[in-house]
Amino acid sequence: MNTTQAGADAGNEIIRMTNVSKWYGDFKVLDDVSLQVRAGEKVILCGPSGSGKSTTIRLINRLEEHQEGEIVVDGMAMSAGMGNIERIRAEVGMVFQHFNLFPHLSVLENCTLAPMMVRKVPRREAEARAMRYLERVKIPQHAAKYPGQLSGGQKQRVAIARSLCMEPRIMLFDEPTSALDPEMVKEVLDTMISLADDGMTMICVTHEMGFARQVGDRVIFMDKGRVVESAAPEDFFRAPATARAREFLGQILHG
Amino acid sequence: MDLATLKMYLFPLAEGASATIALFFPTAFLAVALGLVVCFCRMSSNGLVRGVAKGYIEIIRGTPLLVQLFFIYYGMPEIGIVLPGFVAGVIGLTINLSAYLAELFRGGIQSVDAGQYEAARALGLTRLQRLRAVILPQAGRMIFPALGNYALVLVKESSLVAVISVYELMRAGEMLAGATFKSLLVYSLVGAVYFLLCSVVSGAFRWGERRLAVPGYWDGAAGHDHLSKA
Repeated sequence: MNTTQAGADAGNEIIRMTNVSKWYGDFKVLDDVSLQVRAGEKVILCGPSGSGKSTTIRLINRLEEHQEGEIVVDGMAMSAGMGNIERIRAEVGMVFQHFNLFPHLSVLENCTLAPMMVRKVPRREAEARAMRYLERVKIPQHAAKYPGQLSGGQKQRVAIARSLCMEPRIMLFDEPTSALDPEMVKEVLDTMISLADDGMTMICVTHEMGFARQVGDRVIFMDKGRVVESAAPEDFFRAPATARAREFLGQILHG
Repeated sequence: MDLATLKMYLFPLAEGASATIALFFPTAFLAVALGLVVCFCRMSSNGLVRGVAKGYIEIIRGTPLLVQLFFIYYGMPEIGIVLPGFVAGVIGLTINLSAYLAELFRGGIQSVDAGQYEAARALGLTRLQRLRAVILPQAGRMIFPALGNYALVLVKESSLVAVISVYELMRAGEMLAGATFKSLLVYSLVGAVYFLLCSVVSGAFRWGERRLAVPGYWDGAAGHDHLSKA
């Protein structure tokens, strides 16, 4: 549940996707994707838009459903009509490109809502926990404010704290810095780096290649719904194996 | 104007006004409840349920309130359902208003950003929890000013139940005008009392807007603050 436990079972497989395919109508968004993630691992997903990288992580907490193949998260298999999907979602935190904070709730209430409703944590304990994680993302002074009063970078850090308050075993990041003004990217990446240093299992869809090099254990490059490359960051950036990946790197590095 | 004359005008109007208020509260409560039910039916994944709700909304909105009131009060007795005027009035007004509210509620719920549903799902909230803690508080704020409008409409349209012989403010005015032959005075007074009642309703909604205001997000008058996407 917490980082200590995440550290204790480091190395064990926590996510396994096997031959997963998904269609939107006739369009095949994911084509035979297989992917294993060990506890504590940091995986960077990248690829051109429409490559299926966001869809892939959205399958892991079942914001989307797949049609073929097998997905096992934290020992539970995802299937049509499965009961208690909330149990998996509670263990898998997600940070969105557009933050998706609850605008009608204060920063503190954003952080206490799910622990109180889903985990049944008493209010006082939930608030203490929220303050702990708000300090963690260096924003405790804004606990009483509302999301509409914060900058983009601050919102995203609150969103990270909100997820952490559920004490998840896995954190998913879906382009967490692409909606931010450039000067706010660093504060969010720094927060993610400190989270990585604590041993959290992370899957990040991002084009922040500096971050990928520094934090990533593995880079997975996707194109047209397929996993094209999976390599250590230094290998991937130094010598991508496929022409498609070379072209992509050329575009994002010089684009 | 001596005391006796004052009593002659004021008593019936006060009595009528209290009957109008007595119509307002149960009708408003029931219309919101029924409106929510119709709204959720209208948004159901079941095609039949959706179709029935849609038909209900279209028929009710597509026919005059007056016809609906006559149907209930004069029509229903022919199939053995005889209702007192007051009950028929509450039912007619409730049904009429519920159709409009159902569409208002649907618009409010659909206006909530898809990202809000996703964030609530990703945090492990169940469908009911998402609705209660995330969707309805935002949809409610979105529609709150329009809801205030419907409350005013209800106060004024309840005057129509006078025609099914419910003794309320309008009916009290009619009887008073008939008895005194001072229509100009009586209907001026009736209008003034309606205006007073509406002012109270408007004031209540302004108070509600201040209570519900959220800095940087919603202040009632302006609706959602589009500049601050949370």
